[in-house]
Amino acid sequence: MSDVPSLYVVSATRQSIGKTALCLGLALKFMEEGFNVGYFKPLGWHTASINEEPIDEDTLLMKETLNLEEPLNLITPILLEYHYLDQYSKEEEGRLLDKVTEAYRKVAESKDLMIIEALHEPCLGVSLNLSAANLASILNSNLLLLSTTYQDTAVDEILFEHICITKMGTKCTGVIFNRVQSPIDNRVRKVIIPTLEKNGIKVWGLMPESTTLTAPTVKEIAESLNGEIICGEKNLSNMVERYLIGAMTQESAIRYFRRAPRKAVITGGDRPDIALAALETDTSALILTGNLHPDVRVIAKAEKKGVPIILVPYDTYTTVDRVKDLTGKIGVSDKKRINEAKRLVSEYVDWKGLLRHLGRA
Amino acid sequence: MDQGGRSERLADIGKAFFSPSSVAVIGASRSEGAVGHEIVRNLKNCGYTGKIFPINPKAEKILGLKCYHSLLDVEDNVELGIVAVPAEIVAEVAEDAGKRGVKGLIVISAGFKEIGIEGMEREADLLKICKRYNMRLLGPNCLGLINTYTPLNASFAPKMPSRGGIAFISQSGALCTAILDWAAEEEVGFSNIISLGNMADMDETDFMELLAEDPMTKVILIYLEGIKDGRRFLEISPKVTRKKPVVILKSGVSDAGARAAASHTGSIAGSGVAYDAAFRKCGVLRAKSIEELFNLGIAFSSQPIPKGRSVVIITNAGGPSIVAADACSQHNLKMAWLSPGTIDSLRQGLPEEASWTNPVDILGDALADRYKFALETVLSDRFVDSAVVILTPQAMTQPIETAKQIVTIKSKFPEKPILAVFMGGERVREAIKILKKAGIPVYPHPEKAVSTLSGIIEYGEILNRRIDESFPTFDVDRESVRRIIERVKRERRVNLLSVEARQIVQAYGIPVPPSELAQDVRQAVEAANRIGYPLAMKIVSPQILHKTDIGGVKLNLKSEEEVVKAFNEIMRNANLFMPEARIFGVEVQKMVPVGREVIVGMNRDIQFGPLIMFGLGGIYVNILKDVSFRLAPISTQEAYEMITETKSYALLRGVRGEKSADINAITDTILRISQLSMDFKEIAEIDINPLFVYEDNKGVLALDVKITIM
Repeated sequence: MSDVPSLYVVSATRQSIGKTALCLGLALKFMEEGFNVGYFKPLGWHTASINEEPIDEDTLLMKETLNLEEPLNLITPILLEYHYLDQYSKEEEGRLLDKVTEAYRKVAESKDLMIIEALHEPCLGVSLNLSAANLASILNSNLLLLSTTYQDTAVDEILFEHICITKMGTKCTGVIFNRVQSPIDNRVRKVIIPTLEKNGIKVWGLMPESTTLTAPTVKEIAESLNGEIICGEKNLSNMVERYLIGAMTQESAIRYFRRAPRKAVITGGDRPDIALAALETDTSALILTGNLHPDVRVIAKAEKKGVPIILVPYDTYTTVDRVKDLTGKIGVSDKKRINEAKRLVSEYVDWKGLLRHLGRA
Repeated sequence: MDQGGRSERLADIGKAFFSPSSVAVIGASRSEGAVGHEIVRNLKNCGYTGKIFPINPKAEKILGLKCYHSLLDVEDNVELGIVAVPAEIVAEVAEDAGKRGVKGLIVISAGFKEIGIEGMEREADLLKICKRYNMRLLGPNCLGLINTYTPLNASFAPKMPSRGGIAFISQSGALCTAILDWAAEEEVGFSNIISLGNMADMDETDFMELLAEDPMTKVILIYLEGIKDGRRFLEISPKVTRKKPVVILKSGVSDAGARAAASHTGSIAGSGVAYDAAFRKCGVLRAKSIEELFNLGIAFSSQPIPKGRSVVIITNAGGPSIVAADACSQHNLKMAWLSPGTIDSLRQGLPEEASWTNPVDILGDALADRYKFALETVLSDRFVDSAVVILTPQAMTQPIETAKQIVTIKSKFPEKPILAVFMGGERVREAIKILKKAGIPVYPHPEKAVSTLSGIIEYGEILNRRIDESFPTFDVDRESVRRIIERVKRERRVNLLSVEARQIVQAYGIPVPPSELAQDVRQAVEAANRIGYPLAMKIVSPQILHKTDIGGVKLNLKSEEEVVKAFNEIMRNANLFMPEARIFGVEVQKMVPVGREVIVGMNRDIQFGPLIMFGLGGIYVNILKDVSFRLAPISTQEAYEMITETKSYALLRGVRGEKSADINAITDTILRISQLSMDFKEIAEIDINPLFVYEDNKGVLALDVKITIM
């Protein structure tokens, strides 16, 4: 297979821990160092469509941001549907691997370095014989595990996966931790890293939690709620790090709201006192439920403070339920988050070491 | 700015608004009923002697006055401009006024902040123009103002009140109109009436400052929905209250009221306790109802400030005088002990059945001359500071003659307030009129008379109170605090870890028990051995606020084995009850002897700044609510008062042979927290709960400290 050095980034634990951001950051950093970097995501999800052509949005992001010439269906040759077990017939399944290797050959051609992104964990795709653990060895690549840690169990997850991967004959470069909060990073440095290294696993970086990447913007929230934005349009890129419900007296509200910066306050449109209290504190957006239009004075104050108001038809509980698990997603022209991804890799990942490891230093 | 320059400028502004030499009405109208017409008519009819320039591009004459097409056409100087044109062209008019050298502008027109974003921008533009030309602005969206002595009716309110000592400033224009109508009927006199409107520029504090210098104003009454600039209010109003009483009715204090105020004014009400603390600090009296506000206004404008709390009651009926005595007791007024000489005179001059001690009951058959005798006698007593005269219409009573006697006696005792209670209806109506006309406050029931009197007495005490303005400053380690806060900000947090919070108060000289954060069991053991046993251990996690509830606290650990066991148990409990929480570790803290538990805290009020709280601590705090508040900076005297005015003070002093707690150490802690919150504007809240207080001279320890920054 191709002899272009490559990193195959895969989640060691659950799906949403910033795999795309890491791939993007690594690719951008390596490009900055003067390398011709390619990107490949053998399996993708059908998450959107362009001109009725199904696409994976991450693939689109990478193609646009890295200025890749290859077409989307070459960068991601296989696009899975929700019921992907029904998607291919037996004969088609047999050809899938060829399709992947063929596409990779084309994409990697003339590149100095390849970043390959897996779909979630190393196991995903085993049923189609396309798991990352399997593909990495076929594509002659190195798996790079991405993990996050709150607890000691992260170590066992990584060790177990490492054993499985190497048993399958695949190379594993090591681990990068993402979203590590201070002061938990102390424990990671003092206990977790030494334990992994004792077992022969190299840790290439500890990236801190970055709300720029994870917190959704007001725009993303408004879209997910089908809400009407009634003011503060200039600040739809405000990040929302928490949601607070406003259902108390005004006096208690101020104290409660002060304890949470960069938040969205969810309250009824008939609670001008709560809305005004929220506007006195660090608030990214006001979400008014029950389609109750607020008082003009509340709108005026919000406009003055530059805080968007989103009007939604739902009750408060439904609203919270719909937004609570929403996380930020890097969009194609999202300069702020794209730069943040690169910054994190530059500052917190031993990218020089990785380049050396790939023989490109 | 030097003092002279400032007071000169104040005098200029005062003159422009209260006694301008010329007034232009922009938007003057020929059609009767239009606001622009009413204003011109009011100016003309009120007896104003300066020049009036109606401005209207289409009219030649309005109400017989020469009309100008533009302000720029007026050759003379224009000192005050009253604007009643549509909101869209107010800015244009203000620009002309600025060019013309107008000093004060009253914008009557509505259509500004109160209508939403468009209006808010319009108001900001208007203010910009006024600032550029150094022109002060009243309004927009207001009724205007009235000065009865100039006289000047620069409003569209048709009725000019009679002259008197009350100045009334109102954030509600409608309340002004209603009060004007009521005042006419009640024969209450005013010096000024000012409708503030949206307060784009001048607010209650500006007018308070101006009225402090107005010799005709004896008392300033304010109806307030919210203060515009709390810190400026704290700076200016104490100077005003030292010259004359200020009484404020602040609405929107209840939750329902706050909600109503929020949608009415678009501004946040601010906390009720903070207003209380601010008014107390500034010597402002607080009225709880419109009635109380004007009762105090009437009393202040007609009565002297008594020297003390001793009140005498004269009555022709037993029942009402007992009610009055009860009311005195409720308001902490003293029923005067009459001197032996006075009692002797009363005994000789009154019938045998009369009561010649206070309350002095001169019996149902008392005629006017007996009232005269009794009142003169008691007022001559140097132990009597004020008198309440109660009259009930009985068979022989002479209400009118009695009223006349009271009026005559008043002039003989100019330094002692006399308040009358004339109960009844038809039979006392005429007498009440006589009293009102002569400036004797009169009430239908004794309670109102006593509560009003207590207000006057309170003001007298405010005047006498030696204002302690020495705010002690301690030698503290500001640099450490700054470093901690900067780090927290850099990490974009607002809630400090307990370790950080404790370091901060420690840097300000408040003692804390030794403690360390341990992230694993090894660290916990090391920390334990450094600190020494016995120990307490507590979970540290931003998500876990109620540590005890999830089994995150272990106390009285005496050995390494116990520390290991406790660490693992705490971790297990946290993972069991709050699996999503991020655990930063466990705090290992020295167990200290139990002291008496109090709370010292600070909550930065959005209007007035740091509001310092002191109260009884422990588990009953939310039930007993035995707390006191003051606004920082706090003087030593204030800090001491904060402690003594709580009920728990008695417990701190010690009961039944218990030794007194270290009150000085609490005072010290309050003052240090005051200094900390003045030094660091970014600290939003501080909560030391509990603060252990030990016996006298043994100090305090801050066990748990929470700090939030903004």
